[in-house]
Amino acid sequence: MPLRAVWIFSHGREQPSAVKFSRRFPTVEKRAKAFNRASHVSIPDNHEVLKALLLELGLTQENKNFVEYRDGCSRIRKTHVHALNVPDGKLWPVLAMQSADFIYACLPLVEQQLEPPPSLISISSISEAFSLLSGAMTFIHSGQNPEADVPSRLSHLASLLTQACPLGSPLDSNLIGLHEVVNSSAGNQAQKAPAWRFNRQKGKSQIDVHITEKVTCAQYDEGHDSDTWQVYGTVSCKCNLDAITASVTVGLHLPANGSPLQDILVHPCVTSVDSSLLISSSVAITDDSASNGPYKLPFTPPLEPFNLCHYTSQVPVPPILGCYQMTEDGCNVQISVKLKLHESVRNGFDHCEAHIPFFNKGHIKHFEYKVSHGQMEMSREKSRLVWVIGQKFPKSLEMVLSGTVTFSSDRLSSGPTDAVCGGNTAYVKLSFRIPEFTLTGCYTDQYSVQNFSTAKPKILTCKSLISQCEGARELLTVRARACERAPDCEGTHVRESELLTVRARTRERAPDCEGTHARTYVRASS
Amino acid sequence: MQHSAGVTRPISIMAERNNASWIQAVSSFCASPQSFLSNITTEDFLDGLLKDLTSEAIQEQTKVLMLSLLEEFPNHLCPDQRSGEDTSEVLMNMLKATVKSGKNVPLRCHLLLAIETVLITTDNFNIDCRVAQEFASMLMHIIADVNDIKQGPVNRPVRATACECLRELETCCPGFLSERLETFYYMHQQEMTYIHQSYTMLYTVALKNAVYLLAQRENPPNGTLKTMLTSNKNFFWKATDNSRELRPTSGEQAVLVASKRETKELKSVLSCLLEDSFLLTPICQNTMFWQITQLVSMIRTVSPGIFKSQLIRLFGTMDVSFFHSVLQMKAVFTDSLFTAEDEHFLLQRLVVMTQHPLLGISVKLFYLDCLLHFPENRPLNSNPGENLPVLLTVQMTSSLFPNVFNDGCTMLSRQNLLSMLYLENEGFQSEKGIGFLFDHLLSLYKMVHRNGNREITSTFFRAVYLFVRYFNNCDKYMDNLMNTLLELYGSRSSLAPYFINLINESQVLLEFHSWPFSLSSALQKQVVRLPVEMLNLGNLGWHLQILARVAQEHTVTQKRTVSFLKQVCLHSGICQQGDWRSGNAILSVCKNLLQHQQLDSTFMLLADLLQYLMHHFEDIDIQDHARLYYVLLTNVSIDKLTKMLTMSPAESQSKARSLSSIMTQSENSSTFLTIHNAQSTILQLCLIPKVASEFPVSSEDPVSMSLIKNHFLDEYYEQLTGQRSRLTMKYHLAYKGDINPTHQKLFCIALQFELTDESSFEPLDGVTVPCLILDREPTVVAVKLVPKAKDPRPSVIRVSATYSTQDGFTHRTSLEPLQMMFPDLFLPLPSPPSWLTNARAHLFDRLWLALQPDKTNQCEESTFCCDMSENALYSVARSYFSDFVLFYNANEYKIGIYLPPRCHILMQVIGKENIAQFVIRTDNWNLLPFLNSHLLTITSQRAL
Repeated sequence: MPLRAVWIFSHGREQPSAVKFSRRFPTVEKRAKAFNRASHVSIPDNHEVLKALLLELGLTQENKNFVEYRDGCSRIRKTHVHALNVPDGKLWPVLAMQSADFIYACLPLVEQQLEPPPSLISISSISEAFSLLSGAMTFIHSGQNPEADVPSRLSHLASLLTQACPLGSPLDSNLIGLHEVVNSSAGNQAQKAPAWRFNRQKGKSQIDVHITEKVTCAQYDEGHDSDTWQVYGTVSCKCNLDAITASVTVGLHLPANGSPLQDILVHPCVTSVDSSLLISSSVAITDDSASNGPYKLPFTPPLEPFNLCHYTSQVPVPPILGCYQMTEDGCNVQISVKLKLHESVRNGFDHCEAHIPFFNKGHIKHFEYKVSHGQMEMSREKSRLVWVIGQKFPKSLEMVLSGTVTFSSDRLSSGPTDAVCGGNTAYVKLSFRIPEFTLTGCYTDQYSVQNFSTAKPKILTCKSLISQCEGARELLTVRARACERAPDCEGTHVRESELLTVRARTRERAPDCEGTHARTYVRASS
Repeated sequence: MQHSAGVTRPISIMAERNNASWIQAVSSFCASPQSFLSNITTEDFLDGLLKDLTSEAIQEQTKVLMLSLLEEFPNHLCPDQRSGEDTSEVLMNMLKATVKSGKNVPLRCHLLLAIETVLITTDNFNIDCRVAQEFASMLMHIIADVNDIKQGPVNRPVRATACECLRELETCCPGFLSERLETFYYMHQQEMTYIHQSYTMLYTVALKNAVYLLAQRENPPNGTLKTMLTSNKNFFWKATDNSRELRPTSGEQAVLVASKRETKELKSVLSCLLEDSFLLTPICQNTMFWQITQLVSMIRTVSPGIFKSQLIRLFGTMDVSFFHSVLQMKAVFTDSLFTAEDEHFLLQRLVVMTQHPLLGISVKLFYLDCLLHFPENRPLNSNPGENLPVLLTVQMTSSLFPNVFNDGCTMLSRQNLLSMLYLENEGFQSEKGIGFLFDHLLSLYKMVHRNGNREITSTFFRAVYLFVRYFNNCDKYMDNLMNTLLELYGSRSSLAPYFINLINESQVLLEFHSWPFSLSSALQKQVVRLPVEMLNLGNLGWHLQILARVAQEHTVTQKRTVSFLKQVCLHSGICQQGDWRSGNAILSVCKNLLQHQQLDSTFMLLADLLQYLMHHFEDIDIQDHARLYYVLLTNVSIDKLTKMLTMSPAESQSKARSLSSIMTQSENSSTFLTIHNAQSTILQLCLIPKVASEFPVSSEDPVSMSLIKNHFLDEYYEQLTGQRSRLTMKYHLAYKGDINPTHQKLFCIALQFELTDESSFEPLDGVTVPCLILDREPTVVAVKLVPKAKDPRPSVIRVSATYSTQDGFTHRTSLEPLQMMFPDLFLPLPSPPSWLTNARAHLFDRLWLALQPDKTNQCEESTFCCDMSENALYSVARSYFSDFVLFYNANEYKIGIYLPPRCHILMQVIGKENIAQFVIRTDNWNLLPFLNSHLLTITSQRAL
């Protein structure tokens, strides 16, 4: 179930867009002509494809206010599958995914006429298009130093694609796996090995299992149900086993009163799934009969690290409660922030920081403060305070910061500006990582990891609760939401503020998660 | 240097390439094959490519890269069946040569892929093509080495590639392998290394196609299915017949009626395949499930229940191809595989997938789309568009609520889904849901209101459009929405184009619904209420755009608009400033007002306004237009007025332009000012063949001999430096292909020429042709070239043309490039006008002596022989060299050719005993390869 062509384009702000990689499959194209008949549209030159794609994605004429084909209100794109305007007609279905400064695109074969356009679900190669593009994306951006490695990885891609998709019908989407074992040859064996396990692994037998949970939370302190939070987890594994057909079972446990894991998604290498695992779901009414573990997942591990499963959970409270108040008087702004760690949460952080940014107020000239715990720092650009909380909350589990920030009077020409965080709208964001802790209580240990090969591997397990960096866009929208609920208070000089939003989510496969942040967004209102 | 026919191969005009230049050539070829091949003939390039593939100087990596051209662009390189066959034969020979060495695994894989691609795409994969047969057998031979027993593990990638080649052959010619199923079955069983998956896939596809072939036969006898499974014959070449059509995956299903007893073996084969399916990569599993799904759907006696054991594993997956497999099985088998309970569960899982925080956005959007096309067991309608599954409840979608944290695409898809759901399910929850959706709109509004960026702005307007689409009957929200929009316009009038677009689109959507009109009217009111003195010119432009749009609404009264315009003219100082754009913007409102159905009510006011403009606006163009509108308003009946004004330049022919249209931003008058790229090439330049003339039969002429002075040659060379010789090529400019009526008369055709090799000629002047009319004599175009290269050589000249059509548009197109072949560079020896005819024959003799090769000069002598009768030789000389023969006597010719600016080729040709001998002298030995190839071409056509 094949593809007609695959492309990678670069599209950065600084550099002109360019074709970085392309591969066409003429035998598939020949079939496309036969299947699509009159509705067939042939693929133009790469630069034409790029031009049409940028147009379709709305990435052209960025400086123009309104361009109908780009901004028209009836042009509603509901998926990332596009119809490109090319000289021959409409080239459809082009799947295009953007990642970093690249656009990954491919054109799956549709084995029928294109008029009227069939639904995506009926195009059998569409999911392969998704898989292959995600695989290519992961491959290009993987490695220790993704930025610098991109060119060499791009040049490698052609030969990998020849293996993974020699004539347009993909065989594998995991290009990283292929990359590692190109030209390897295992000896003959008596039993068929999974196609993704090319090789025996050398070195010490070892199984690593990490459970990483993330929490995202928005707190407004408005009483009713406006606060929201969500917890989700990933179990990632790395197995080094000297056997072609290695079989491992990982058991996940919850404490006796823990709420069941929901929406469990398992890796394709999991050989069987007990139906009871799948019953608990966030979209169904909670059922008391839902199992709360242990969740057993038998699998044949791939050679590279992988995510064994994802889950979500509904926990009753967020890990940290916060409150943010602000009073503005000319150039002086009095702030007060209170944070409280929930007693069920492990009081031992790798790091914990609260960031308090100020917008549209000019530079911070002076800052006087009192803090019950931790230290205060000012960012280099003098527009943001950072409350370094460190490894522990105090015994009371509560902390208070109060102080007065004096801003330079020259508001317009200095300091960061923001369309939303003006006047009484502001936030605090929290960034933290708690090792050896999960909010759901989910854990695994060396007794729950079974391996059925002869050599006993060393088994390492760990867990953590962390938060993550999110895109600036999301940050902006959080604020906007906060401001939407803010009562109008023009003309008042004294403003008090309330609390807040914590957002956090786990990075994928993040056993070491330096540089990640959790955020607490705080909105001030009068 | 001795050349003889049949020994030397034609020398390619392509320069020798090395590794680096091949890498460069491949990348520029890939960027645009057509423009690459306009600089060099396809044959030459392909020849060079195939030659260098065998060259030892080229590295293997580069060769792989070169092969990728054949793998990706076979039809560009082998434009016809014949060249495809020849190319694949050459590649096949290369492959055989590498097989012996046992090395070069990547190269061998790529050779397989290239041969496969060329054979299939040039329609050569059939029983009549020897290479195709050989190739198929070779593939079988390669894959027969199961478990690397003979060739060792090094060869494994080649085996995998061969499997893939066979699978692709089978897919392109379904049934090709249908009579060898047993062989494939055993191979798939025996292969233990990780490439077992390729064997399995090959077997599965072959099996499915075989069953399909069987199902198409009418009443196959009992036992046919069993025989088919154990067949071990040869390739089924009939399957390669091109007239056989590929069967679309949807549509009429073939059904094979077979008894349960007969399908027993097949069932066990299928169970085995499914049982081991977990050993394949997810993508291959998906492919295999789909093949078996199709297969089972053809045979009624095999129950879809065989998939049951796989389902749970697939239900819980994070992999998109796995989950898609389940959805596809659901679509095909409905309740014969999925009970009502399963269906409900699957739907739940699908909803989970649409919102799972750990899945990518693209995939989640795909699942949302799947949700709206969910294959239900009992669908309520067969509408192919978006449908809500009956089992989907408001409760299930509670976490699908769009919020401002989402990206625009997700926000809108979710809003669309929920809107459909709330509209379908009445009740408290839906009411609340609609309220939430409206709140969501408001939060977007707040962001736009506070100067949200362009993306948020367009998302907001799309969300409004969606809301209007689904809830235009909820007056409560629609009024509220209107107020919100007015507020937004009040604070950001630069969003005027968005508002106009919203009005236009919602009018199309709702047809007779009053909301778009109310919005127009409300916007108009808001604008005219603005205090004129405070207006800034920047915002005025936006307001006028809105007013111009509102003036198109016949149900909206326009009095206040005209009054507002008058106020603006009187008090804003716009007339004194005399800005053409502002004036034009006011006039475009006036233009729409002139067409308004209730023109009577604004007649006086409008006349006043126009009069004021024509007297007070400080721009002569605006005054003129105002005067025109005024005259039209006061002198022409309303009916005619509307007709005259609505003639848009784009729709009608050339006349329209002369009327009243002024340059307004919304109109496409600008289309006249742009040069459009033509959709297809409709012009071509055809070389006019030269007419062969008689050549002089000469004899010795003592009189003229005596006239020849001693410094004869010096005089000759002197006049060479003095003159600039030109080559004149004559072409017919003619139409090409189907011409649509608008292009049957072309005017002002300007041809531009661009040299691909700038060192060979002086830059070319363009040629202008006044007109070209279909069915009339083609026009003759003379292209004059002034050669300047030291080494004349063939080259290519790109041609483009701009022309105007009758409707006033200007187009630009590229024509087929002109090929300057080697003989096109020939001129007769130029002799001073004072010389007599016979002097030229003597010039030949003198030159002949002068071109005697020695160590100090570039001169060279060469001989070319071929089998040729005297008559044939005469006809060659007549056809190709008539202008250049200086002396002819009894099968002896003296031919003198001048290649400007400085080169000469002299040939003494003698035909004797059916052998033609060309003795050649030239003052530039670089010309010899070209001459050789030219002689080969012309003599091979006339040979014995």
